[in-house]
Amino acid sequence: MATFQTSSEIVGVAGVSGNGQKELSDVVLGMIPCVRGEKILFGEDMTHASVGVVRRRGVGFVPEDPLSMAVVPFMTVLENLALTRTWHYARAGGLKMDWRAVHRDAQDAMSRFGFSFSLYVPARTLSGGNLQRMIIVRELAYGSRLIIASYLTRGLDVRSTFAARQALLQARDEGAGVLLISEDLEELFALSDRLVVLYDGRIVGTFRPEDTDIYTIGHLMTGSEVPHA
Amino acid sequence: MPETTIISSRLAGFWRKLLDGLVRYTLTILLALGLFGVILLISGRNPLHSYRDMLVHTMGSAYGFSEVLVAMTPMLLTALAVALPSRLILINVGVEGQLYMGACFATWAALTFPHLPAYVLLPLMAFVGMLGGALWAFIPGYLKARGIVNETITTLLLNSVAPKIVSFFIFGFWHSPMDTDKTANFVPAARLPTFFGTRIDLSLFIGLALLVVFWWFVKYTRWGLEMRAIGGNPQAARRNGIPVSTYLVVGMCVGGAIAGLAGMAQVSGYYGLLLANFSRGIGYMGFLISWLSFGDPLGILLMSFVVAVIFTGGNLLQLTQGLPFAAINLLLALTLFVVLARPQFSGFIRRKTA
Repeated sequence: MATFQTSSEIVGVAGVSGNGQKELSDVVLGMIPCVRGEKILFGEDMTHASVGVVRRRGVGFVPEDPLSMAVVPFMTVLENLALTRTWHYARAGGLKMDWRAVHRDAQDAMSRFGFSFSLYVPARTLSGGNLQRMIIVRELAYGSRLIIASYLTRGLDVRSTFAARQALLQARDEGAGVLLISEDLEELFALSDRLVVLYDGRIVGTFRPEDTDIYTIGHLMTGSEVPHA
Repeated sequence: MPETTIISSRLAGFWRKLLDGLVRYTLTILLALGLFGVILLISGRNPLHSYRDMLVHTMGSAYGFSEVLVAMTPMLLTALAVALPSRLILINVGVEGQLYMGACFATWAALTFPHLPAYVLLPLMAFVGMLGGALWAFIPGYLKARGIVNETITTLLLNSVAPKIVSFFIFGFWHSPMDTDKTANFVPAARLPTFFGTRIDLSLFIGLALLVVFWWFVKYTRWGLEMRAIGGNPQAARRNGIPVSTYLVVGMCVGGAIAGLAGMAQVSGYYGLLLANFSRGIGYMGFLISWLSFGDPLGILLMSFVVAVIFTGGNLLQLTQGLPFAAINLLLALTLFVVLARPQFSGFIRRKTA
């Protein structure tokens, strides 16, 4: 059984792609069922909870490939922003949506993170950086208590990378727990409060960043013995 | 962006879409008619005379127009039964079977409770008809949601089962003393009311109302938004917490219920009894119309009307031009092929308007 206790903390999950990071995020999110053990989120047993229930409890998800995993390309940015919280914006029992509230919340979140992008264009027309900003606004700004961020800055330019990292740190400072999955060790060391190494679907090490180094983590990620200093 | 700018840009977008749609549908129909005209010429008929006959006998008189609307009604409903699940990328080829099951269930109600007044019996027939269609659609919907079998296969296969179930009941239990392939005429309380001294019945207005509800539902409600999300990117929808499997089952069942209502309308309105093999491919026609119109409500209305004109006019061409009815199926097939060339049209329209 693996325990990820996190609150106001960024837990970096280091591992070479294919060693269980995606499965880990999918199990937490509820995309794939727990075949063994149990999943406790916010003190509540969510072993068999659906993605919808997990999301409602306050789990945000920033995927590695937003366009295919998080966004409906032909829908507008505003519609995409509402997708994870349709229940919140539904009025008259679901017969209509409060688009003014969606717009207002989006503007607030954008100004909070210092982002700016158009809300009324199809999501597919956004650049990679703006798409990631949109996902960050949706997943981080609306009171998420646990954020799963997979390869947060993959493919982003320097400016977008900085903005994404700042947003994650801001969410952490506001009380959210973060599961940051990445292969980028520099990023993991820069952002994480705790580092967990995954190899072959198992945790092979847990460290404080200040107590370890990039070489030790790298060795563990590839399944090789850590050479003694 | 200021609100007035948003509204004006949306209005401009609406008009552009409407114009684009009208041009596309007009070009589609004209091109199909042109191709069919070539076939008419080859077979020694004058295309202009044929089209004139078709138009005069359908649109040229109140009776002809009412017959077009009568033919259009089941197509409108069955096209809707395809269009709604198609928003969830479900390919419901099984409308024909769902139509039969709706008709079968409705007939059961009509034959079992003939003493009930019309205001009770007709809603009951509609309800059980919809239930029949929904139950028949539940099978492929459930199998699809569980990832067991693709719905295209199951719906298509179930189409050949449903008419046999209907035949089993007709030939086994329900046939009239005079005929073995149909039931006795329904009591008047089990007949849908007709209007304007024509054969237009209540189901036309129900179909039009459902079309408006469908448009409004998809565009404005929470469930419509979630359906569009599933249709646009199922994986993202699932990760965003939308219960995709539930939508697949419910969407299929609602489509089946609408098809079942079409079946009820056929037996209660058009025929006034249940006839073995009564459909004449209405379900497949609805499938064709829905795909011709890309599931768009306005497109469904237009295309079901056009197909009804072709159908009704085609019947007359057998008399006036000596054409076999298969020629009408050929025209419909040509229309479908032309629609499949839509990307070229869109490119043409864009080039002309650029």
